[in-house]
Amino acid sequence: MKIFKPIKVLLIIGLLMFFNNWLRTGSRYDYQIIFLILGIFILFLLLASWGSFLIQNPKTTIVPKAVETFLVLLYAALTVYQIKSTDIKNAYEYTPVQIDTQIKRMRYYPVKLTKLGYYLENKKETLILYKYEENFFSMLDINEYFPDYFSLVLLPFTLIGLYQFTIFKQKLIKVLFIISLFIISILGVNGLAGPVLLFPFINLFAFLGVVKILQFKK
Amino acid sequence: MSRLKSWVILIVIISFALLVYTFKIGDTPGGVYVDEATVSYNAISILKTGNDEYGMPHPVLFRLFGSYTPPLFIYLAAFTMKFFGSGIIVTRLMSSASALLSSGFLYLFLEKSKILKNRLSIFVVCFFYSVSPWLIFNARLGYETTFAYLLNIVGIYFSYLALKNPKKIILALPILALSAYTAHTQKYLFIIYLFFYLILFGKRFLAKVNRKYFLISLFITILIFIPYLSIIGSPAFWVKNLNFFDPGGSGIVENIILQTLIYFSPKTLFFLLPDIDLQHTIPQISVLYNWMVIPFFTGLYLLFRNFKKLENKFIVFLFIVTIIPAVLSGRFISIQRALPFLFPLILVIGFGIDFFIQKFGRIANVILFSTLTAYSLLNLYRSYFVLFPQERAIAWNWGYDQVAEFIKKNPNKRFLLDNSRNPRNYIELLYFLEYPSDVYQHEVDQVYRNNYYAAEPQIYEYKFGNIEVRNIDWGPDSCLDQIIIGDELTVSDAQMKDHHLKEIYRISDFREKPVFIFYQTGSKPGC
Repeated sequence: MKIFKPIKVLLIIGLLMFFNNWLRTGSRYDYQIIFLILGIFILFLLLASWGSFLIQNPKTTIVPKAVETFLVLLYAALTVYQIKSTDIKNAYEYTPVQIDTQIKRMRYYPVKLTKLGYYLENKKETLILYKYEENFFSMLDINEYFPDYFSLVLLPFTLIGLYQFTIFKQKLIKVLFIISLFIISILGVNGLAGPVLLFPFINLFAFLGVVKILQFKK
Repeated sequence: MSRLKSWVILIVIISFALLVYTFKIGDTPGGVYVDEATVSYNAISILKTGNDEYGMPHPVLFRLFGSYTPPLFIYLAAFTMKFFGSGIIVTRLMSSASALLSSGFLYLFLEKSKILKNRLSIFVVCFFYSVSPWLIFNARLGYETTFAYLLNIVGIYFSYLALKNPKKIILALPILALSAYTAHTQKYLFIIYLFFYLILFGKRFLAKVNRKYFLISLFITILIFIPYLSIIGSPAFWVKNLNFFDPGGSGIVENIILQTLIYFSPKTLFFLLPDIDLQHTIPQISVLYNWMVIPFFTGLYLLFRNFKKLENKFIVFLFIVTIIPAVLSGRFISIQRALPFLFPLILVIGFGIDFFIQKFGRIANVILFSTLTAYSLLNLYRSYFVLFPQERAIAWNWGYDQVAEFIKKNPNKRFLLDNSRNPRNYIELLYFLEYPSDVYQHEVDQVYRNNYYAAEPQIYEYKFGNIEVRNIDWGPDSCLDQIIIGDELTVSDAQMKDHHLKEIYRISDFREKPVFIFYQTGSKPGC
């Protein structure tokens, strides 16, 4: 098993950051972007270093408490940014045309099933659920991330890394990842700077993919 | 599980699927799409005269609208119509039967491959496959796609069996070759499939004991391809090739990667189809139910975890190969060309379903199955049986039967049907008017028959009986005594006034939106 030295890990991270397209286009959003980039970068750095350790010791569960705390705090800050930079009302609002379509659709049901038509086409809760469904599947859509936010070059590494990620025993990163998925599925992917909460994880997966391939070659 | 119990469950699944496939099949889809009309009309033409609409005797590829469609489905439709009568229901029912048989072959594949650990999972997977929106949509359309898909699956099934029993290759390749005679997608898929199949699994057929089976199979396949070989040098054979490697706005490689990502995206598969052709889509539902995304991801994980198993390798091979023709076939997503992908997709989902069935207890499984069935069928009812007939009626060329009725009632009038927004709509009138094919074959421009495989460009002007189908030429057309038939955009208010047109009839859809408007001409002063 090849153990990676910190300098090599940093080199890979540096290279991966080059393929983070959002870094180049992100500056147009607002002044907070510098802090955002810094936050994501540090978070990713930690995750990657940790990941590099984990990939060599997949069954380990030992994590320094201080690292864990810092990671959670940084993650919380990023979450606050994600929430603040997303217009949640907009994500669940129906345009007048959409409202009109829903009303028309209600009329397509047979008279006997008018109530069902109302439940499926016009009930407030159902409409919110449809919007949530849209957000959920947008979150799962690779095309939302590649190539707008990340270069296509990273894609194969990300997929390999994602598989690696699933076999880790380490719980905290997994929990943070699942929380991110949950938050983005509620907020949608159309925040001011995109689904930034997932960016560190995509980088982490790409990193794990690269490390796995380099290990494989050895 | 006893044999009897298995049979009972299978019969219940098949009966239910049959019910869903055939329920109101004549009315939903709402209209008769031009592809359905042309297939039916040409099948009738072959049955009655032995020639297609252009007068070509027993073509190897059917010209239709210039697409040069592989012929097997049309010949089979002609044969079926001999016994069951002509009409769109016959060709649609052929698709229903194909879909049902594909479920049967899925069952056989799952039985033989033993990829699912719990036997109950086989039935659950077959059930959800049978009632999946993608299969139901294809089980109710009257052209070649579903039959080609069936042959594909049968070929895949035997090519899988051949990995364990090389004798089966004798059936596998010829059946796949037949699928190449059914639809364009399968024509390309056959080559791609064979190429990668032989690279990945071909070694076993080179062993001395197995070589003869492979050679026999190859010999039969070459025999099957003789008709194609006879026209391989003609432009008609390569007509759909123009779409291949069409890079669109970006480079070829980038285009292929982006297309692949869209086809593989869970959003495409489980939520919203990005296919811009409304005729291909069902409102508010994609090709599979949204909940299937969970077994899909689970299945993918399990598939790659045990990648070294022969069955898993074979499924990964199918997963990649079956999508290639769709990815390479142009810049727009066409879910119709991706239909062969449904089979490996359902196998991956099957892994996931099997995983959960094993995890949960009997009661939890019953509750989950009942809930998901109810939820799926409710979604299906909403999207396919309520929204689809209304919102996709125009895309399915609704209303031409009524146009034909009007024309039939006025046999002494001249008609001009505007085709500026639907250049292929002449076939709708031929089909609904039951226009005698032997008569039409003499009225159609003979250049198409004389240079049949030369892929002469289509001239979208048609004349048969008392009907012309073309764009309006306001100069002469407004002076002739005729009825112009068009949609809302054909004639503006100003044109109506300028040319002294009089609206005499209109056909509106379920939403009271005019679909066809009939104008009487001939009262323009100075004509």
